[in-house]
Amino acid sequence: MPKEEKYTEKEKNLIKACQENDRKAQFEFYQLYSVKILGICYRFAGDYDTANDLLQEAFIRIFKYLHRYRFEGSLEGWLKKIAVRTSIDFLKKHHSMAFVDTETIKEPEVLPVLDEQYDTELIMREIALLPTGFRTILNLYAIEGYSYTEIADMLNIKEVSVRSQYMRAKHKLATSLKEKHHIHYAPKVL
Amino acid sequence: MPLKSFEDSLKDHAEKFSPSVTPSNWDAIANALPAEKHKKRAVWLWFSAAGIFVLIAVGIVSYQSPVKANAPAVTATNNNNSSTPNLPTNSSGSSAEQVINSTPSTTSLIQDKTPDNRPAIKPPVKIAYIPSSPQVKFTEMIDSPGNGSNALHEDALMSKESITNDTILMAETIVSTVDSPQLDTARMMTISKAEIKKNQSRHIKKHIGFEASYLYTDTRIKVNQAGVASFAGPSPLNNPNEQLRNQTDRSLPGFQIGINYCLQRKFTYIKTGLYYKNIRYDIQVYNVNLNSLTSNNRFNDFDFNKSDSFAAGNGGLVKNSFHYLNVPLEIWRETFSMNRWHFNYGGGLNANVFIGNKGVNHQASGFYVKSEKADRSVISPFHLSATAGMGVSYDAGQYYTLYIRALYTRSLAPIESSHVTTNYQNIGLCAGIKYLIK
Repeated sequence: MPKEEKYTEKEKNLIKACQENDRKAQFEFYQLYSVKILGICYRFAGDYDTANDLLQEAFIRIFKYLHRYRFEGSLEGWLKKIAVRTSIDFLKKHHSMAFVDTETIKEPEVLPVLDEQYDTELIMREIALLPTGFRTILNLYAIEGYSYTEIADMLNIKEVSVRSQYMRAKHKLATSLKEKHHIHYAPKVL
Repeated sequence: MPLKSFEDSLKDHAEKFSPSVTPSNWDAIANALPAEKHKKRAVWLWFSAAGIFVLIAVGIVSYQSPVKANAPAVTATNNNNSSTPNLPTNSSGSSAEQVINSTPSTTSLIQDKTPDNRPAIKPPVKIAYIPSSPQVKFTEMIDSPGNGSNALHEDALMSKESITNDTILMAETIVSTVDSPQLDTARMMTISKAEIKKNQSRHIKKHIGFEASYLYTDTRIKVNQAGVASFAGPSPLNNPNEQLRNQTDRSLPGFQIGINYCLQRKFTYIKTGLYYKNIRYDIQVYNVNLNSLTSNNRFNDFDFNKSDSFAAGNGGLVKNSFHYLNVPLEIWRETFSMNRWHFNYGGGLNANVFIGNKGVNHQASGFYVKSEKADRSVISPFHLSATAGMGVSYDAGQYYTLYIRALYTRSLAPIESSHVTTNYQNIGLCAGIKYLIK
């Protein structure tokens, strides 16, 4: 049984008011979570215009299905899943995604260290500049924590394609960060 | 201390990332949500009224001539065309992916229009990889197949749907790098709606236009010269030695016509141009030596040399008719669009270069007076004015837009002339037409 997340009385009332279609409560809820949702949408969409469109779509879905939320598990996790699913649905509808491997790519020998000194906005922008397929798989695996199997099911492609495309994506991102922004390499963490 | 993994560091940055949310997003979300219960009835009525209005507007618009589609239709390509460009091979020697020709069953029309309202590109369209360019371009066949006119259109966009994963590659824009030649692989580009929008947002439209305005001028005049009196003022006999200063003025309609040039990106455009502007007002400026007044309070002895005008009942006035060349720099924004109608608002600055004052002299009868032009010379050859306004525009066709606006203009600097200093403000009605160049 999922662990029940602890909510304050104020949070519970806010969610319940949103479930009852109270516009003020919905606006307050939107203000609390819009930045995080937009961040997710931007990472998948690659540009702010599309990200804002996806943000709107995600929140419409959130408020539509909020009545199904039973205060079990993390609310933020639930919201993130909806944002990810909205983004993936958009990409699947407007991008035909298929990956054909002409060769295998090995894990890059060295990867950049992306510690706190580096600008978050810069790194997110480089992710946004990745080709769509690379960006999608990188976001799903590296940031959202989905497994190769789950990603393969989501995108309707083979698991081996997911693995190789992830390696390519990681390599391309690392190369971009090194060449454009001189983010240095460090030995791979074992 | 062990270093964080690449994935963990990416997660941390993603967690910290705080982009700015566009304020208008909430309006769009709220409009899409079900109405709150207590407002449902009123909303239903509003929607009904809006629906009737939209139907009437659509009916009116549909009654008018349709939008001219003047872009050439794209014709089919030969799917067995053997002139496929040679694609580079990668470092391992395996051949790169082939150019795939779309077929009618696997492509569909674009429903979105391109920024300049070009018609949708009909399948099949040949997609070519140009080795010399880092980008993948689309070859659009012009006129009939076989006439040799293959023009490359960078913004020729196409979307593909319902193509199986086995038959199409996802297209990426790959820039080969020295360090990773294995990435220099040819791929097809699939353009999504997002890409179309991205291209649209970068596209800048250019317009030229013609505009005419009716202006009504209101002035605030300060008299420069000392010793000016008005017979409409206090009785001069009370202060026979006092020299008073006064003036009256009356506003008259003027006009402005000219041509303009606009650069538009999405819903905002910058406008400049060249206009000819005319501002008119009457002025009565008196210069009277009170000692010369008779006991009957008649103006028998004027100091004519200094007198600019006179007034006796409905007697003559000296009219001022200033003519300027006006160069505007304005920013306008389109909003609240419905079908082809748009609401606009904006404003900006105008540079006004004085050309001349074609004042008119009147000579009243019954008085032995001399009248001269007021504002004999305008000392301010240049002044700035500011404009603000709002109005509506209508997309009459693919390239033409008509608009009508209410304008308010105010001079930012006083206009000095030999006798008076003037600050003016105009309210006006402006009508114009603009033509899309590109």
